[in-house]
Amino acid sequence: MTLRTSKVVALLLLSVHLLNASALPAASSYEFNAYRMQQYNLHQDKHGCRGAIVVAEARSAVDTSLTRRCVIMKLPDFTTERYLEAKKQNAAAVLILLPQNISSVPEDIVQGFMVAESQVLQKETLMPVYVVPEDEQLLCMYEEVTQAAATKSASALVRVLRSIITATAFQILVSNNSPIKPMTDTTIITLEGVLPGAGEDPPTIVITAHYDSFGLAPWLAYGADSNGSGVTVLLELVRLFHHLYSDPRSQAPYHLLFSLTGGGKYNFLGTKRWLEENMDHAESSLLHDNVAFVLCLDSLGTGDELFLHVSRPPKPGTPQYSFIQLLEQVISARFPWVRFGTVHKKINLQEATVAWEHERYGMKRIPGFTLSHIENPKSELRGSILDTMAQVDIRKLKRNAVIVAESLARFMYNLSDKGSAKDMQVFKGSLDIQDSHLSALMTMITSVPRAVQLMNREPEHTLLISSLEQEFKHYLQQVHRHTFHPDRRDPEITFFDQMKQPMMMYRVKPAAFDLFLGGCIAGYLGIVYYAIQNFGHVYTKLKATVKAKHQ
Amino acid sequence: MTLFHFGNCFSLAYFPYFITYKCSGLSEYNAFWRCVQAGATYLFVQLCKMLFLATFFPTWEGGAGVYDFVGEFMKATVDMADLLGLHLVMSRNAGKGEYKIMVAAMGWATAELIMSRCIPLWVGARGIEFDWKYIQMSFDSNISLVHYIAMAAVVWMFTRYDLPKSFRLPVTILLGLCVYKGFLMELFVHVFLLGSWTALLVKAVLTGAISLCSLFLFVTLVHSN
Repeated sequence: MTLRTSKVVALLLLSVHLLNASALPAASSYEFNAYRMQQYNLHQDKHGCRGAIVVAEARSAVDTSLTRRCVIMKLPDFTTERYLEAKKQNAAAVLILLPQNISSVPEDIVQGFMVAESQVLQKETLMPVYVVPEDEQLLCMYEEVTQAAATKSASALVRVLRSIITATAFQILVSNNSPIKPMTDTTIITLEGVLPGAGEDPPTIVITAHYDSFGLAPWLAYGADSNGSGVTVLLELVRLFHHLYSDPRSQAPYHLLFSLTGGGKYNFLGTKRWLEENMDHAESSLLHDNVAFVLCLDSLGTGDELFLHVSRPPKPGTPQYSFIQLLEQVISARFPWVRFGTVHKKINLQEATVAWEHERYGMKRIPGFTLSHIENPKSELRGSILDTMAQVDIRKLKRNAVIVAESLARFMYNLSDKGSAKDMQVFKGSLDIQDSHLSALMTMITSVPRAVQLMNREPEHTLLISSLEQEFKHYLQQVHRHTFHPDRRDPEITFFDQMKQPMMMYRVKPAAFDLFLGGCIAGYLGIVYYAIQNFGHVYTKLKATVKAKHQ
Repeated sequence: MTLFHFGNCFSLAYFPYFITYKCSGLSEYNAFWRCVQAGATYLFVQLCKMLFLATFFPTWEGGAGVYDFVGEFMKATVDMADLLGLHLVMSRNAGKGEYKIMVAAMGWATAELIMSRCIPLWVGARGIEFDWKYIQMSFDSNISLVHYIAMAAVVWMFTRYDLPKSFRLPVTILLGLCVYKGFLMELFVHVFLLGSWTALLVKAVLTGAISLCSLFLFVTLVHSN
């Protein structure tokens, strides 16, 4: 009898030790918002992830068996190899944890993530990919899951057995009541405004930038450099030239047509539709004839290089050629460390993606170019969720704005022919471009994710577009807002919904644990039963000692 | 297997009560309805306590981390009503001392089990997530059973007319400890920042000490003449 009881006691003590050792700090159930990778069809090409439902156990990315599990990755873990490995092993889902402070992430990790991001979006996948901003609970979960993977690979039998029975696992749950549907109310909004020039029927200069952003998850795509910087430079030009044009003596003999287009990241759809509307449907438009050139601003927020992308090299004597000369002059005179180059890329109508915005104008026989610090149109910098204010250097943005403004002024007022010095500053004093103003504009533009899927659906996004329209109305004339919807029968672009889902994370124990606990409780109850049965003996013994003491 | 977990917790909580009822011989005395009456008295006493607390004790307006010692002490004093309730139950039952104590304690503890533990277990332990607090709750109900038996015994001893003078002091101290045990436990948890399992262990040790003392006094009282 005593041997059996001692065995039972030993088992109980061991189980108490095990139970204590696995007491863990975080909450047992946690709900948070997870942002799904975007899903879209562009001209019958399918991109993005097709699935949304997740019912899987969380596993670390370094774990060997990922089948039917949800792979948790931090920023350094999300590389193309890891992603393809997860796909190959038929993982149930991928959950990416995004740090709060992206500026503290090393540059090479950011690069690797951006490359993986752009590659992942080239094709479609059935496996749901979610992105979630990090917080305490999720980091706790990541630590525990990584530790569990490490213990498994340590492969001592006792440890493996112990982990089978007592290890806490995490269950990730995204439940949906409805299947994913294509969005029917996609709108692309384009704003335009004019500063009329002096003289009779002067030529037009078009200055344009696309304001939307692109990234792995639409709700997290803030697009600071691409193309928030372009929008900021455009708004600065609006302000500066409005000041100049408000005095009739300083009005230049050029109309200035400013345009903020939507849908830029999806083959510049906003530009395409705006051009069609202006050229094919409108009675008279500034675009119809006598356009000097179109200057498209795309990603000017950082870097010590500037590239002017053209579809065919301009011939000497054309306005484009003179403008390029002036750009080179301004840069070599005032900012000689900036590398400037022209990149020549022919328009290829067979290609699925349109590389730069000026190509849309080129297709309509309007000459134009794009100014950008990015050389490769397929660069991963043009569409990433890591493109936040941390990627933008305000001083370089100001320098680029100064370069553009000065070159335009020289061109429009023909200053070099009039013999002005090469390093003369047109915009100074009260007309100077200020860091704080640029900073404020960038902050306003990056306050809200500007993905095309979200525009005109959420109140904050409509507010942003209205603010931009107000800016235009304050400085420009003939301000119009054009709203485009994709064609019903043959839409150029289709977006799918369910971009933000509530996700639940539960601490669960394996099924064997319940049995184990049941066994321990049965042992405990056996002890209790034994104790209560023999309580009578204890009582009589106590009674006897008391009686003996009193005798 | 989460219903299984609920079953685990429920059996852990309920089984000792069942065993105690069967083995203490109460079933031979047809004590079932008397236990139910004791349970009804428990409900009534809790209701009165709640009304009293709600009326006379203002809500604590201080900061979140500061522990209101005086306020909680006053609230614990209201738990004296438990003693009155137990005394009421025991005085209405005729019979030997042990019978009265066991009936009162069983009824009281079972009512507390049903009222304060069954619903949290049903709602919480059946969920997909796992939390240790349900097992701890079930252990706590076991400890409560022993606590109420000891408390009933001490109340019975306190109201005896033939209690020797030398016993007055220990019995009063034990009585005070019984009433303020909850308050003492919260004090320990706050001051020493105990974890949940350690707090449970301390509670078990405290209850064990109280019950051993009261058992010793009870045997001495009953069998010393």
